[in-house]
Amino acid sequence: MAANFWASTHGTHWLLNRQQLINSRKDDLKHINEQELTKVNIWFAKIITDLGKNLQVRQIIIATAITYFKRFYTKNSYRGTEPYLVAATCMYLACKIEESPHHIKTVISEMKKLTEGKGGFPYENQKVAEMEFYLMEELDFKMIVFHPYRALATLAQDLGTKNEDVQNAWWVLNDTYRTDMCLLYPPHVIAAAALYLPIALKGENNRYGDNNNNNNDNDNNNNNNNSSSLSGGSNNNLKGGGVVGGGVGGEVGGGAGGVVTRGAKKGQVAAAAAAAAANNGSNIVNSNNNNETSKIEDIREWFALLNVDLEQITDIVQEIISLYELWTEYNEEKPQEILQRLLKK
Amino acid sequence: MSNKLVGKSMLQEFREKREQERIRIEEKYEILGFISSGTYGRVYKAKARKKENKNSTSDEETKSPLYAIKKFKPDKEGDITTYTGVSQSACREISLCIELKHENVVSLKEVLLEDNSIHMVFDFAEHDFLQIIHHHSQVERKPLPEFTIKSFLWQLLNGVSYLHANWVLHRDLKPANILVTADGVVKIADLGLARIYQLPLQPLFNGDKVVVTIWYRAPELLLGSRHYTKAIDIWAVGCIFAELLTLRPIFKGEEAKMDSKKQVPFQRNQLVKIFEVLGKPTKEQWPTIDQQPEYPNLSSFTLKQYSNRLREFYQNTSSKSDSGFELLSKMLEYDPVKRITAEDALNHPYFEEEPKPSMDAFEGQRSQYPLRSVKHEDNDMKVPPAAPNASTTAQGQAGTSHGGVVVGARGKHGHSGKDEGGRSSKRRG
Repeated sequence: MAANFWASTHGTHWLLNRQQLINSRKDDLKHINEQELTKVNIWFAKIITDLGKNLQVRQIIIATAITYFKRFYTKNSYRGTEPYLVAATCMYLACKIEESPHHIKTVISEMKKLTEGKGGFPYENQKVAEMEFYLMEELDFKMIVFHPYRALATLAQDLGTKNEDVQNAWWVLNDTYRTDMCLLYPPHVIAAAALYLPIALKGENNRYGDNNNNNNDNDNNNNNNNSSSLSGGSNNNLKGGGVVGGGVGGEVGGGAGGVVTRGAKKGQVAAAAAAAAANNGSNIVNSNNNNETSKIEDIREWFALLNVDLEQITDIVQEIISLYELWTEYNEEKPQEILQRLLKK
Repeated sequence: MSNKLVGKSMLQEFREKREQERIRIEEKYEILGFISSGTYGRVYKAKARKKENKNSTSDEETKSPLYAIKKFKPDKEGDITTYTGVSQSACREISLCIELKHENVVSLKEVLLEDNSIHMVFDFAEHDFLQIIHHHSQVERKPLPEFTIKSFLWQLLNGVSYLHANWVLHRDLKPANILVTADGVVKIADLGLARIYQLPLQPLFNGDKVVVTIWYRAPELLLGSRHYTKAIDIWAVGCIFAELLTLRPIFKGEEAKMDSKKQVPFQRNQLVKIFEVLGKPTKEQWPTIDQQPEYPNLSSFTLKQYSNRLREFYQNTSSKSDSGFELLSKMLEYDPVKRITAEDALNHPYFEEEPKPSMDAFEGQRSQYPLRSVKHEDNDMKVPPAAPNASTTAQGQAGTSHGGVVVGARGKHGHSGKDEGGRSSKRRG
């Protein structure tokens, strides 16, 4: 279990496929559209993150709490439940399972502060404690969650990745909890994608800096405006309390051959990352044998060795890009308005 | 905000929906009787109800699997019950047990919610080490056969090795927590203090104080170490091995109680008991001993000359095996770094010697030990007994007298309370 993800309940029971996820949302999607639901999901991930920060818990605990929340809502709809109550309960339970318990009153009072002016949190001990029962039951009592952070550390060490890149990847990992990735992919694959993305981006930048080996055989035109780096976005994220403003997705434009789906703006960065990950665009990266390039090759080699599902890496990279795109038009009022509409009887 | 307005009814709706779907414990299990109680709650013996075929013969009846249902008391605070959620130890036990699957670790069948309580349904085990040791010392008045001891020890190490390979520390191994099925299979139980141990992203001591019942507590913990390692469980296994050999705890110290300032006291008496058998640890034996927080206290142990008398101790046991002695001394190694691992212990020559260990410690004879006592007057899970007290405490199936951190930190003494309870309930039975 703890030593082997594939023998754990997370690996055997709590990895879903996309269809299962879509089915679980049918009810809510009768009332709001898919993009709106995504925003509500981001909103609650942010609430839980902020609650965790105010309680001064470790990132792992925030990640576990968000995972519980997402798991709960694969079996329930927002409409039939009280999501703020669920969110606080997820944090309360996650603290216990991750061995850093907080008193139920502390969690409640932090949640009250946090939601002041945003509808408040009209619940006391009894309600949260009762909800905890239901939450555990909805989780099928499978409460140990694996996270990509440890895998990231291991991978970075194996590859001798620079601290700066590891830090960027760490921020990307935090951001993945705003998406459904923790329900869909094994954590080490998410870690690999998160580490790959910033390095690939830098590789891209180097290439354009070099300017004379533009031998990209992706047949679409590449816009040369990917001057942003992920670290820019992510730093932003750190300072701005969780929302990337004008992150990667916003600045990369153009399209690259069929790699990015979902009708999002197709960033060449994503294309480069994804294509390289899929191992079909080897000359996308800098042909100069600089460090960054060799790292990308290292990672690809490592993927091959580990037999990581490259398609999954591609999917994850795409999802991260989509997330950053969505974030550019995200503001706090919107999800609250959507939520009000969703919960109205 | 809208969720505020409709809030109440939503939770109610959710509750009603779930209550309807839920299968009542009574429908699924027939409660055969009450086994034990503790601060955590109560344990019942139960049998699965036959689903359809009600004409089953009595022969089949006896074959229907048995379970131990551990019902946790709700965590309450103060006199007026403000309910504060599921206890930390229940959370631990559920989350770990559900992940673990091993022949020598108690198997959690399911968890049920009813009556505002958590119910953990375990496979039933008829015996435990404490009861078996007690039976040999008080009733049969003769030692356990070497084959049984070796099989018990091997299976115990096999389970511990699995836990450790999965980064789980048990932290409270003692005879009462080691169950044995009627078929002679050892099952490690009571993971209420167990924790996942990973590369220390953060120190392991936060949250709870010292764990492990004092007689089985490793010297590094007694000397104030706050860093838990797998070696702590191995020390406990060594103590249990010695106890299987001699039928009494090898280091039966008196626990110093927590003082009013709630400072963890120095366990002088327990260390004396250890020194009397193993001698006083030297810096050569344990190079980092001077880094232990309580090390300065050791200088006061000058009244007696302590020497290592473990061989003498071993010679007085029923075992004549030199490699058995060798294994015991490696498990009772002072320096936690040098202490043998569960994995290495399993490969120790002791287990290569005749009699070789078996996964059936009773060698196909089923056990000759008395069955776990069950009280039938307390079959109703809903109604708690009027006044539970020490004398009604029987030996626990999955349970012990300490349900969690709070009591563990207070350091419930040995298993003396349970011991008596077991005896008294047997008399009654």
